[in-house]
Amino acid sequence: MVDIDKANQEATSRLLSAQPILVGMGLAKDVIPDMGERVLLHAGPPIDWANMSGPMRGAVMAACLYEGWAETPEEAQKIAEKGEVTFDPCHHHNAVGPMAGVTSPNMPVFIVENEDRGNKAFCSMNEGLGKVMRMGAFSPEVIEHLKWMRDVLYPNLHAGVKEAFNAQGGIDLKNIMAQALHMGDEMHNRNKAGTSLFFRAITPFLIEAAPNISDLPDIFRFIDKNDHFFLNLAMAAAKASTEAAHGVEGSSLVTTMARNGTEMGIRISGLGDQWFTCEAALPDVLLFPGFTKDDVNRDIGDSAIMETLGIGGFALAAAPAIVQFIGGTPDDAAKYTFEMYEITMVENNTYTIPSLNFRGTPTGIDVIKVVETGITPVLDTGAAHKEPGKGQVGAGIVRMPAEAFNKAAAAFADRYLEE
Amino acid sequence: MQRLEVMPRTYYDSITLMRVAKEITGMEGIENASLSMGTEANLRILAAAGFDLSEINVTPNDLVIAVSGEDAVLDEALSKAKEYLANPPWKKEGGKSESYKPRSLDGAISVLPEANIAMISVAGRYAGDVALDCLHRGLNVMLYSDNVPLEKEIEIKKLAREKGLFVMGPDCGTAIVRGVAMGMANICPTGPVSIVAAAGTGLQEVHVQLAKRGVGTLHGIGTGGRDVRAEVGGIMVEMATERLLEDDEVEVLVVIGKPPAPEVEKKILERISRGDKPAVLGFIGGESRGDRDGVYICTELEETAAVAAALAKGEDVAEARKELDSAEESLRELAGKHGPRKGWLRGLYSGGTLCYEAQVIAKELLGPIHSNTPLKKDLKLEDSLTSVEHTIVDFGEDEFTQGRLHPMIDVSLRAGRFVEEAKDPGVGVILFDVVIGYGCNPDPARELAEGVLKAKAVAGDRIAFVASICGTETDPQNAARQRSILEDAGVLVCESNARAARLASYLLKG
Amino acid sequence: MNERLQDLLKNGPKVINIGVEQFALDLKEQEVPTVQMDWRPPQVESDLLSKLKKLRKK
Repeated sequence: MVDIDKANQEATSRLLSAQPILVGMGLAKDVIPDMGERVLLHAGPPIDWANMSGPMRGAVMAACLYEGWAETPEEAQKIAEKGEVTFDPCHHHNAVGPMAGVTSPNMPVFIVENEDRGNKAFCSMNEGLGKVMRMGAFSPEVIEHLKWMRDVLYPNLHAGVKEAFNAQGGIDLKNIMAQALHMGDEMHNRNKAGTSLFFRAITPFLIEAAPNISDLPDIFRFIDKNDHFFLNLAMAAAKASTEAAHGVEGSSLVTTMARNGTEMGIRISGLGDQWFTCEAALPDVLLFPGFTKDDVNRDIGDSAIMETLGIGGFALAAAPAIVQFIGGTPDDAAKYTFEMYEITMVENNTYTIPSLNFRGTPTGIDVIKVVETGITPVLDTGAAHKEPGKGQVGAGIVRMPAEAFNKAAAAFADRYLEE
Repeated sequence: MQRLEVMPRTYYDSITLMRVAKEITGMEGIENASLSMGTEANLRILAAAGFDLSEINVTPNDLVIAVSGEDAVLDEALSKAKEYLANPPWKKEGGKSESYKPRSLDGAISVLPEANIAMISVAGRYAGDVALDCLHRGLNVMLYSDNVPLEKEIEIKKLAREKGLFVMGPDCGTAIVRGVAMGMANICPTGPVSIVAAAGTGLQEVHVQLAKRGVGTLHGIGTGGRDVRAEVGGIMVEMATERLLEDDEVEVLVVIGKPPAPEVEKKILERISRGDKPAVLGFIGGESRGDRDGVYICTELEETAAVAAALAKGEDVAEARKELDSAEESLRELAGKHGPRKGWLRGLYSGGTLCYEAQVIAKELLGPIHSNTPLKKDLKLEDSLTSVEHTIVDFGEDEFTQGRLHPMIDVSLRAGRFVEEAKDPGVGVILFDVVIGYGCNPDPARELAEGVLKAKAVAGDRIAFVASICGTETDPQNAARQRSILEDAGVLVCESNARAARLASYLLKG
Repeated sequence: MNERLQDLLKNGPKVINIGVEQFALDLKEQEVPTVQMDWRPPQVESDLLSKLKKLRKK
């Protein structure tokens, strides 16, 4: 008969000990396991075309155009409808993706390795702000930009990362994240500090190894203008860390939390690969000028992996700038963090919150505590327009719906009570 | 001497490590302490500091704790280092929020780890399970909530007995712990008396009457009204009595309530007789029996307090009782001065036990008393809003408190009822209680006095108003101030509920 | 005697207040260490809750 407390200690120990390092890059088809030819990975739990929301469909169409499987958006739509493309969650392939999170075979991805246990995680590069594929845009400009990322950004960045790997084993992402947390980032909605620190770390290697030095100014400007560049790296780091804690018999740790714009799903360490899903929340966010509540798409993205790791919305007390941006006060931020302590197993030993006297962030969501207390995880996230391609409409706090957690807890009780 | 320990795959940031190292270095007998991650650079520094690294196996992801100094203290230093890493002593303050209200019991306990009692006042249908949770977490419980099913109460008290914890309640509105007022309770000095009470206002009245005699109370443990029924078996009364008899801070034990089930009373008497302290049993409305051998039996609240006070002060109990008798004489005289009055008695009460005591006293002098909580079933009022002949009503009963605040907090219903009763030409005396202290209306006398004046406008001089104040000058409302407000409105204010009930009855008896 | 009961009687109450906030305010006025809970009725069927309780006891 399994000792749940002991199992959770083991699982959180693995979570806390994870050492995510950026060790390389590659094209998805070459480095992501089981990446078939006509496969598109997406954020959140499994979903088929018929149930996909606007932004997800738009991103799928953009990917089809990018890959050359279709010449026009209409064609792209047809092949998706006909089932000529296979969809699978990023999470099934050790990968994650923000917002729609669509990852196609010829997309460059970061390779992050957890040096503690050797497992790897993958994530594409962040496109930037505005009309982008991850928000469901598929216009020619979007495709052009994706191709620039593949043909200009990637070769140089790849070389830089390789150089860093050879020189010092890669770029230590955990280190950057810990520092960024002390510089006003929470690494879900605010990644400015992380982006800056990463930029500082990679630049010497870029300059040393870039195949086309003349590309570098454009690349530097791109990173400079993209405050969320580090998000994708942080997500891969979080994926590498949480995956290490998955599969511990008897553990009630939530190791996956993800949304696909229609449904939200979680997975539990001690319950194998089973998804527990329910309808995704409708974010009640601060809206950018020009948008209304009716424009908001349901919650979408694998970025909930940040809260699964124990930062993002859980570390809101560390990001006063974000708090204002999402319509709250610094006191509100601290209150969310205090609430999260009630549903997590430990306080983080690396990610700490300066304004709380460097108390460790609430880490290790316990599905049992979620159900017992009625407190569900709180995320701070961006909200997408429900029509494909219209971009981001706002940002704010989203509460995860209880149903998925209740289902998981019931399954956990059924599985482990019988023993 | 030196000692090294490697904690594999353990990471702490360098600031934490330096601070812990500082704490350990400050220990008696320690020369040097160093905590660092096992990187090459750090290992070189350790070696340079004179630590012998030849025996240890370490990677950059491991934590190395190195201490040097007197051999006898090195092991302790290592374990202290690990303790500080887990619970950094400088993190005791801060990192918490004054205004954060935890959603879970575990959360509450982590905010206040020294908590020893939970005070529960949520809806009755949930309160029982909340109480069970608290007991499982090792907390004593004050269960203010009522409407907790009897079976739940039994389950709760059996668990409490198993764990050796107190459960005060259900329906326990008043408790005193080391003089702290919990729930609706008064501020009085602490002293050698402790009380076990099945009754809320019963506890309050005795508490206050003791204070008036200069005697303090250390603990007033509420057991809830049903504890002494056969089904519950007096579990809490037994536990509380047991603990207080053992406690050397308690010199006089008082047990009060309505007369318990015979087998429960037997248990109580038996236990008290075995104890080595004097005990006063106040079974309100019970049979008058003789005192015997350190156990004193009373039937009224003030009497109970008077006897207990005498015992606490080492005075003669018989004298104390005689004093009460002569007080009765003075009341007769007073009645003569302000009466005789013709007609019915109408008692309007906020405290259940005070209402009960008033009925017991009035019945002896005036005959049958109707009530919504009558002494005999056949005297139950058909409609609590309509008095019949001699009537004493408890406004704390369910029919009055659905969707309303308790009458000790909201006095408007009673103040309005003064006028209603005044309109009845057959009414001669109106009797009421004024309960103050924590949890009660901030200024009940004011609104009640207004009601009295409005009633007098209707009835002229026909009706005499008699009241008692259950409270002290140290209560927030200040009993003396409350008294003068009432007296200004022409109310006859007595020193205790028993005296007020007596005076009211004497006024009508003629 | 149970330690916490001993502590209660010898050192006074340290209270977790579950319900009416006024009680916590009154206690704080008497300088009693108090924490106010934000208690809400359980939203999950008691069936699942009691199963989870059993898990914990194991």
